[in-house]
Amino acid sequence: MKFTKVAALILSLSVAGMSVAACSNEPEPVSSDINIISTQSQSSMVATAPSAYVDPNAESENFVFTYSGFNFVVNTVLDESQLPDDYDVFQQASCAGQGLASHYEFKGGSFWVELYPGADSIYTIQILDDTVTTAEGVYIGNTLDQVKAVYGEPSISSEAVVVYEKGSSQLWFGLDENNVVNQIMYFGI
Amino acid sequence: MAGSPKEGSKTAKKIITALVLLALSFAILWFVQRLFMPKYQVGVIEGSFTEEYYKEKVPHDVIIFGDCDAYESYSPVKMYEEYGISAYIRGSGEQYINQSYYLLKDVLRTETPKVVVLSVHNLQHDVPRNEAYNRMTLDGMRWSKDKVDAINSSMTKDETFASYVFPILRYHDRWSELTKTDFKHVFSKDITSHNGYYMRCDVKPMGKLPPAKPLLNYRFGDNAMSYLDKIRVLCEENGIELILVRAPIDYGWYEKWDENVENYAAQYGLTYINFCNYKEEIGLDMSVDTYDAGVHLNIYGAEKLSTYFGQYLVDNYDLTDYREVPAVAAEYEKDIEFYNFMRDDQLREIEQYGELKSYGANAIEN
Repeated sequence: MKFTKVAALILSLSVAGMSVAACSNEPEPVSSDINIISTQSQSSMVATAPSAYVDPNAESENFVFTYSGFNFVVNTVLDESQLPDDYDVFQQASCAGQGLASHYEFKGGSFWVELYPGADSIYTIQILDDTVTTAEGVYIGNTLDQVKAVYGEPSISSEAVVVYEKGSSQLWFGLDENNVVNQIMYFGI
Repeated sequence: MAGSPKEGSKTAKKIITALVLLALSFAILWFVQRLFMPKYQVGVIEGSFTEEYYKEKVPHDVIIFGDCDAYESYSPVKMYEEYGISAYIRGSGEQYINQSYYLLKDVLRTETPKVVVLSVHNLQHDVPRNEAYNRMTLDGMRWSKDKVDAINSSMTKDETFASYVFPILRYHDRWSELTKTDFKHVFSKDITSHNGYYMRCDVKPMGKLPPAKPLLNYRFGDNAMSYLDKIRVLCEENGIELILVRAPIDYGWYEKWDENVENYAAQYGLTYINFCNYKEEIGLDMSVDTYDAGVHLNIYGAEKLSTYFGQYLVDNYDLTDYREVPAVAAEYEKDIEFYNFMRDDQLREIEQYGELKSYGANAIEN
């Protein structure tokens, strides 16, 4: 009988130990993940964790895009109540229930703001025409040289894009074959 | 000196007791693991697709691999009804191309299709990026060297191989989130797809979609291309025709990507069909053929595409008309019955509530 008790105790401790080990090995959410995994939600496996995408230093350290007196900054919460009123909202679901991303179209499509899926903070700001400019005055139609004159040498460059980094934000300039800016985009990183 | 028979009996009793306790512990652990794992039976059903393939009882001439572009665009049941094609979609949410390769190897363990169709949408991801999608594709895969390789080539940086072997390591804290579905499907799961096809009968007309984002460059990653090579070579070695396809969805695709695939197909003499270029011939009307404003096809769009693609397949490949094979036809009759039942059920819900209640996002249990 004594042996049985000891055996049961050892087995129970083994199972309990396995669970404890599992807890300590739980992966931490990674801020760069668009879809944060959570074992808390059986169906979607996605946690609604807006705070995971907010950078407390973003307002002072990131690139800022200003429109109608409103500052848009990636990795900050978008306060809808303060927005300029010329926008439409579209919501788009990720495949297999991996979050719902909100897209705000401003000024009839001149620029778009996208939130992280399942969150209320800004992931991207995308400028599509020359009626709006960056806070530093660069707009679609400028040349690569004009971009460099304002922002200096890019952190990353390819044949199609030059990228500048600041805080937890990136500012992308898409280029056509003549090195003319055809798209401007702010990314949260 | 040998022990007495009484002492021997005691020792045997202790060993048996220990073994019973051990077996009991593992049984409890196994049960708890089964209980805690996501079931993917309602709402997000895409995690069920991988394992549903193993319940198939018929051979398949055509097997389609890929992400949502694959499992939401083609209706194998429609292809069977119209042409007698036996097809299956081994698709899953954001299925990465390395996973397509290992799922193909997995298929070849039990059957050799005449045609493999690869949806090239998944070339956009050079390496797997999301654990949730990894899980949906890999957890349901039958254990083999291919599954081991698929896991090892898919894990993101915080994932562990052990958690795939013992999923309870990953899902143990779901204890507070368990739903009635978890208990109902501890031991068995219902089929949720139609030969891998994800049925949606609701309609949300094509609307304005967010603009495409610029990319650093428009070349596919080396890793992704290496798996495309592996799929091509594997098909060649097994005498399988490989077709590359792109669903007729403009969103999430770039012209330069298209050129890359065209060049690859030309280099190796493969067929590449970008169905975006054939919308008119297919008869697609994105005011009625999509359920999410143009990102995926609904049943109406998928059936139109299946009619078009099925005709192409029977015209160009030597496929068996399985309507003439009684044993296979009998199985497909059951598939058709299930297909029609789900379609009618969805239509009933749409008529009654104006939207789906038991399917899609509205059915997700919280």
